[in-house]
Amino acid sequence: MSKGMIEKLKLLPIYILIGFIAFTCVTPFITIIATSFSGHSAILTGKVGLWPVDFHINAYKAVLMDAKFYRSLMVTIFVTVIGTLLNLCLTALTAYPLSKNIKGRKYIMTFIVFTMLFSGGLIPNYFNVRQLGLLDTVWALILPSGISTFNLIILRTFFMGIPKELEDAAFMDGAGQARILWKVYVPLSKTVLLTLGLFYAVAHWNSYMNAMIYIRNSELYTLQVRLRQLVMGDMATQLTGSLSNEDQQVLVLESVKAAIVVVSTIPIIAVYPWLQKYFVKGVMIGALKG
Amino acid sequence: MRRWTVLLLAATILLTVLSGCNKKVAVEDNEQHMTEISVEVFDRGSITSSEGSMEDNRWTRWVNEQMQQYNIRVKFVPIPRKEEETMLNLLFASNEAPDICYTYKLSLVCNFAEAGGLLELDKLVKEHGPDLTEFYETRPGLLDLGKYKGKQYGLPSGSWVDGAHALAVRKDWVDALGKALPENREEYYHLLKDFKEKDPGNVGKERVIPETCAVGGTGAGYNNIAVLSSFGITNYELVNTFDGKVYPMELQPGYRDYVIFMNKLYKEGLISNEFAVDTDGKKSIEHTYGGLAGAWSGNHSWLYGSINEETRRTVPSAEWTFVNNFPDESGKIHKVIAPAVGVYNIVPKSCENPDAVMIYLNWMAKEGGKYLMNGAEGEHYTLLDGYNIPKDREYNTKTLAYAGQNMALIRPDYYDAGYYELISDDPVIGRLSKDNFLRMKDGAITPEFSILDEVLSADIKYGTTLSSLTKSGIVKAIVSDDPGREYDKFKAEYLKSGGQEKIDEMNEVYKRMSSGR
Amino acid sequence: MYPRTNTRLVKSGVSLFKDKNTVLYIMLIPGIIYYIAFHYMPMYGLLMAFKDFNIFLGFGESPWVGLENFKILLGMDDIYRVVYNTLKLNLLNLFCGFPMPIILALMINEVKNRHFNKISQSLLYLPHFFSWVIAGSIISAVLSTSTGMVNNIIKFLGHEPIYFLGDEGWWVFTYVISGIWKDMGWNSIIYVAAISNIDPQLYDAAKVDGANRIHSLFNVTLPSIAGTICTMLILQLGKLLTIGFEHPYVLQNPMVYKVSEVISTYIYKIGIEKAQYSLTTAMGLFQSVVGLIMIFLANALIKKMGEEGIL
Repeated sequence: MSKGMIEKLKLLPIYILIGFIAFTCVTPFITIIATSFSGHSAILTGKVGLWPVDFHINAYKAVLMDAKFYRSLMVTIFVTVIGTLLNLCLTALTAYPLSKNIKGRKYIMTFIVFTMLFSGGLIPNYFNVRQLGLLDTVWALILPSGISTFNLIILRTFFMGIPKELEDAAFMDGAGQARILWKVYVPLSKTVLLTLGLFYAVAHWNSYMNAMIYIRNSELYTLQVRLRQLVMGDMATQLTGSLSNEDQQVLVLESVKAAIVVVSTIPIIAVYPWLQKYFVKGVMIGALKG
Repeated sequence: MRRWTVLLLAATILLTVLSGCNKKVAVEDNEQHMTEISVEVFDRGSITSSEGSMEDNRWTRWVNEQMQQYNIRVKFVPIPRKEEETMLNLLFASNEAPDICYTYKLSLVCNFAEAGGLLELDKLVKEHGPDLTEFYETRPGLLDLGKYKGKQYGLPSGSWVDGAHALAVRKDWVDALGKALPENREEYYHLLKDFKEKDPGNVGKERVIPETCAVGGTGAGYNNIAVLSSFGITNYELVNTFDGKVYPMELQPGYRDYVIFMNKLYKEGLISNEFAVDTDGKKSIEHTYGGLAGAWSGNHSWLYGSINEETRRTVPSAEWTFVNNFPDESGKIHKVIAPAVGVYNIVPKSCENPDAVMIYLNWMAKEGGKYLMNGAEGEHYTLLDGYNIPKDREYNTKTLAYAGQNMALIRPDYYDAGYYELISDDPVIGRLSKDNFLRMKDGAITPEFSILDEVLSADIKYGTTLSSLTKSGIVKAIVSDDPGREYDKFKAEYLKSGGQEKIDEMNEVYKRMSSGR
Repeated sequence: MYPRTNTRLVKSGVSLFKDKNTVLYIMLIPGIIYYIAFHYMPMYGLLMAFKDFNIFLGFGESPWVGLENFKILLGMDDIYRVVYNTLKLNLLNLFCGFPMPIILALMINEVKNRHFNKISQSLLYLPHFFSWVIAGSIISAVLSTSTGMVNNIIKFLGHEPIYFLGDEGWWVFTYVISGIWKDMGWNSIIYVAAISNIDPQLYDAAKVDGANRIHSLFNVTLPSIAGTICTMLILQLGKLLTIGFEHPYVLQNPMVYKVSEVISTYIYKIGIEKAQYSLTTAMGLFQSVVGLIMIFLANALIKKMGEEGIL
């Protein structure tokens, strides 16, 4: 056997392992897709596996054929795009100074990290947003999550890893801090920024609680709020005990619940592979010479 | 890069403008001195765009037309159904609660009342609610359910049917065995054994589940109502008194024997061996609808049609029939039906127009509720034998259901056996529904009090612990090898962890309630 | 060589500032404003831990009760077991779950086949997007003793079915494994990104020095992402006493009550029935304080080891 083949064979266990894990990850999703196309009775009797039983598209009709759905989709896209851009700007702007040895850095970091652990609670946050006049506006969905401290720390750590020589060189050419950030650090952090952008975007896309509390106007409902409205009979009703006061007529088709999962997840899944091409090696090529 | 920036900016501006454009046009109020009240309405996401929104649709307009004669204008405040509790807490905390709110949770009502945030409604009902009073007189016991510490804070809406649990068995299996429906515990036990050994439904001996149950979901849990009755217990604690005292169900004398009996069933494979981990009831439903189960004890919402409808999709000859509760040693049958509450209507203390609120609720009790539940004659229903029979279910679901479910604050209509027979498309299901309905009510007593009218301080302190202890203790006893000893262990721990306090407090409150009569 | 710089930069107004750090402080202003406006302004809610919150009296008027709420919490029978369970599950998660995304990222790094890489990565993070409610019902179905796939295999191999969710020991196992399964792919993204940033020249240099795959791993890859790993570790330790609600809740059942009741589920049950806002705030405060202490300790430790901390 050639050396190349031995190398390849050594990798075989890794391929198998990753393949197996990927398989366990995707199978449930396939089941859910199958469920979304299956008949109510078949689902309830546990007949649905990887393939739909009693195929129908009523679930998707119910979810997609309502103008309200598209309205909420527009709102969510807006919030996600604008929100993520704002997030990245704010995060980069804040992470950069904190990656330098400025006076008071430790105090500012503590000030920020503190908020990761301590929060005022639902009601004070609601009062606060109300006081700021943001209730029932789209900004209530964007501003309160302006910076994720978790992401901030990641970016800061990354910035701290960029060699100081680059900064010094730019200074010698007369650049100020703002230019350095924009022309040096940001390009070098493309991978991380994209990753954080993904984190932020997913958070916006899946965000539910904020939208539910801060928005009263049904025109501004986000996708998650709209979709979850259609789902009943999960945790909350289990806790209320067996003598249910609810009306039986409001039973939601299991297939609709599954369709909702599919609809709210597919856009994100579609985005990630597109991002992957940026996770390419060699971003730092040439930067370290000398 | 620059092109993208410009495009993005343009998109932003466009969308901002669009989202801002949808401001509602303020209604011109030319009427002099119309009192405005705000009313909560659940948004279940069930209203279609063609109908409008929960705050503005044909029914909100109709309500306002009707209320004009009283000089009242009604504003509807939609609240997502799923988060009703969180939202209500939020609204009350920020003083933004609508003039009429409603909730399914009694604990919410009690907590708000305790904190001093609710209006007492006794006097208001007397002054402005004659139709309300009449409505409650037709439903004995219902009004009391909304009392806290003796005062009326909540007005229950009532529901289409009363609440009860019952035991159901597959009559087709019973017939195939050449037997009759079981009338006592012994016969039931032998029936289950026959289900398992003879497999009258031909589903496969390893697959048949003689009795299916689950610890969660919509069933009765591990509490088989008929069997409980044979030990002298009902699931309404205030109805059984032993030595003049009331106990939580699991601590009533007789429950220990019940656990031993269920343990025997479990060990012999007569009940589903996964019931303990079936926390959402899904497995149990699989057994039932899939035709694998022979018996099931559950609540009324399954009784009228649904269980038979669904099972017959898999097994067209299936017939679920309800079995009366079994008699105890002295031959007495313990069977209780309590009025179903529906929702509790509450009024915040900060309400500025309590009189108008009461007038609205009073109107609901007669015309409003009736119309919102049934719709217009000819359009939504036809009159047959004195019943309102829905005309076109799809049309009603689209144009009426959301109103009846969320806007009818008082539900004056009450469905009975004949109704269920008439609305069924399938004559077999219709007959089964009617039979089951009658059988369920037959011999049942309506309790004087079905719940305590006060939140116990012991519940606040120990409630969570006690309910978790109970569930896990009983379940463990049922699957263990020595159920009697496990039960005793559970009971000792229960009493020690605040259970004794709770029982004492229960009895104090009960004494107060009984003496007040 | 160096990144292209532009002599036009000299004309930028930035040169007006004498001290180059002034700009840095100015950059911080929007962030600080954000934190004050949306995090510190509502902080007064924490005071509810020391008051007997009445929803109608509000935050201002509710009476002070000092440490009473904490005393009540300590007096609750279950509280010690609940905290112990939380700690136990989190530590297990730390030892078993923390390394997994890293290992996964390292494995992915070894795989050269572009297509395999792309497809598998897109699949691995799928479970992250299910809510635990859905993931929970999938897990229950798969682990069911009667119809579940896993037990079918076990039965086929001649053994008794395992009561994964009903047995206390197996429940803990299921909890940890399901947590790993659900977020392993998503958590590996950050490590994959960090690894992809390593200069390939470092690998070439190592090869020249005679390193094989394993050597590269330990001498190039791991040191390069050490900073990321340490950061994530500190953040994870800060959550030592907090635990999500949905994950344990959907897997809980009466048989495993003793090992599955954690702080979040316990507090939820107290809160939902009794509206004990003050108690839940007090408990939250306690968890946060512990988390803060953990972060300080971990940060100091990591700095001693020579890495950058987060403070």
